[in-house]
Amino acid sequence: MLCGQVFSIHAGKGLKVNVVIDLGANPGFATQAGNLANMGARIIDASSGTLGLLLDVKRALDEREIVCFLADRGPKEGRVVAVPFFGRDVDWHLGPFEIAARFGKPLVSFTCVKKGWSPGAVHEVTLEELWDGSDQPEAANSANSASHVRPNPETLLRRYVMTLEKQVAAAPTHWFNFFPFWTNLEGNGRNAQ
Amino acid sequence: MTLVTLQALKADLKKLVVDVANLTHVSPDDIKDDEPLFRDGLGLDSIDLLEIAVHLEKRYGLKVQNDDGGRRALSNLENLAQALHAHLSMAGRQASA
Repeated sequence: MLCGQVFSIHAGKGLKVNVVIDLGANPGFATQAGNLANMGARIIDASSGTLGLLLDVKRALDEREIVCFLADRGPKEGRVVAVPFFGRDVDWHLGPFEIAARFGKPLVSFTCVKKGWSPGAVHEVTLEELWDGSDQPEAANSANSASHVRPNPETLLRRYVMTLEKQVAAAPTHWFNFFPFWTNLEGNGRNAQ
Repeated sequence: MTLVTLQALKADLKKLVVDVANLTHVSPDDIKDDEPLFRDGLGLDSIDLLEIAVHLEKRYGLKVQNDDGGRRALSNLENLAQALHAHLSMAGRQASA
């Protein structure tokens, strides 16, 4: 349910939340999307085409709304960058990080872990700011160290991967991914998954 | 408000496309009006087109929406220039009314 209560809380405060879901990828996503919509989230269907998706995202960001992406999975084509995850390269999609960098919007990782296995167990949500959306000072050894620059999308992606790695290390049984994830596993004598 | 000609807009847009998509191997004059901007045409991807849409809004006040008109406008230079020309004409009429 992607911690739907968080969405409903934000919706109750007048904060509009958009969730990008590829409804064409899995029939089960339609049910999830319906549940999220009932909680006040707006669904942006990624299966309608990337350009349409991006224009919808732009509209939402222009109106200061929150846009959520599933950043730990997605198309393994287009703008992907290999970044190690637990020691093995993974192709990560750069799209969400390019969008954040392009629009200068704060970037926050959102993870949710169920604390315990009893029916009444609570969920612990962790929000970690990866970037506050402002330009940052250039490196001190730069010739122009007084100026500020927007971070590279790949830098933002690497921050996200480090955060996700930390979260998964703390709760390894709470992260799942049914898609081919690590690359170049063949021939190395071990299976990182 | 002086109305910009369609030809002038096309020249401006071609330069914008080359700059935004960092097409180092393409000169603005090389871009054909009816050449698709996306993938098999000029080879732009959706993030490039989003960048163009952002520039159009900042420079001309044209908001490209996710509808048939918006997607058509971003299909090639001719359609983009036509959409922008229509937008500027309307803005000019409203300013002089």
